[in-house]
Amino acid sequence: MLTKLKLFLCGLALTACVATPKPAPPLDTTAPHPAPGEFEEEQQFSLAANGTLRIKFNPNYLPANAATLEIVYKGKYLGFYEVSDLIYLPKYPDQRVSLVATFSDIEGKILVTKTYYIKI
Amino acid sequence: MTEEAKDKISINPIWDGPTVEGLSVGETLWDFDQLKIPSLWAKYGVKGEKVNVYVIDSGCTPDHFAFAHSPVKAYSFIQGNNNPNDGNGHGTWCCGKIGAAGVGLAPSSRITSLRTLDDNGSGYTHYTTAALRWVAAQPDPHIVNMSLGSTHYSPEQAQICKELHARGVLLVAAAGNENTQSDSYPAAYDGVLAVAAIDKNENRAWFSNYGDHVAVAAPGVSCYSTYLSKTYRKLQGTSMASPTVAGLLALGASLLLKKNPSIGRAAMRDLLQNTLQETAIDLGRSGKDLYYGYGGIQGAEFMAKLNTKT
Repeated sequence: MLTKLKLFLCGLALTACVATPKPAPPLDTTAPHPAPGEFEEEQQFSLAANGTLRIKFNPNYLPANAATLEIVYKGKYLGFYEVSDLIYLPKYPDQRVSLVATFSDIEGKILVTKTYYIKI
Repeated sequence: MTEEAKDKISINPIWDGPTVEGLSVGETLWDFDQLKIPSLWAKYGVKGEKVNVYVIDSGCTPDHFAFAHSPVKAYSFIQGNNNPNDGNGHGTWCCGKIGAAGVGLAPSSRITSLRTLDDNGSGYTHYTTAALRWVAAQPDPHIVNMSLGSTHYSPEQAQICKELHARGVLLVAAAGNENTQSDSYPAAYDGVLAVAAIDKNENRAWFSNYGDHVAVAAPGVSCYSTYLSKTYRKLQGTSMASPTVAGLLALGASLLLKKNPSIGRAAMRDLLQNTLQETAIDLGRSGKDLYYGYGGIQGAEFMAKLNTKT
């Protein structure tokens, strides 16, 4: 007997959980602009051949107890990472994009929120 | 009308509902917060390493940057369609909740996507049975997630689930979204860990199916993960609760493998499933019940207890 399986995704109540994307933080024009190809505060980033942006946070420029971070990039929430992770982000054609990172300690206590600017 | 056409079930109409993208300002991943996932990564130094997880679903999108750290292997089991890519979004969501960077509980686990549902979110039982047989032929399978189901009991599928369980594979499946007690398969097969859905306040999700076979409950309302076109979506259903359990199990499995690389799969299966159930917070009626099983899964307690057992 052929029987169809179906997804168990429930959408009837989705109207109750409508959320809007986090707005992109305004660019701080007073902040020092990193040179092209640099990530402010000497963090490391590079461009992969497929247009992906790779970021590795430099622990020397982070709070001492930072263990994890949450990222909002170009106004989009990207979730949780470890500070030791190699993080891949989509590359946008913009010349200068912002990344907001909220660092927490191992217990999840928020230490600091920093806004970075990436010059591509 | 052909036999095949008569047996076709129309796509779950609720699948056609709107989805939302992004999170509100100040909103975070409530499932991560509740299960304390980032703290567990840092505390135990594991994120699913060396754990093989198979996601039987609608496929996985190949180009989402959240999988760039560990590309998902993908195969199709749909007859006449070898394309393993997700045209629906559901499979990408489930793969992401387990293994995507940023939103997955076990982003270092090795995800293999087995496509048995088409772009409309439906597929035949024998496609999934074939995928399970394929998993059984793999050298070191650990966990299978199945966020799908049907009321049709398939003896062949029941048998392969039994065989995989005997080999030490953890089979995790969604209980279903009809708010009924009728059995849904594969969740109701022996050897399958059936997952119900709860909301942020640990209340049973209104749609979540119930019954003796429900083992645990997990976050499944307004949960956030990867979607098509390099985006994210907040969705709800027992489909979302199931990969959340699979992801936590993958995290636990990587801890066990780290502490004892030679641990057998059957021993690992028992440790993981028993600990998951023992550490679940009792919800609803006291003790195991039809709606929550052993209760809501707990990340910190699960990992701490596993850590003492190895």
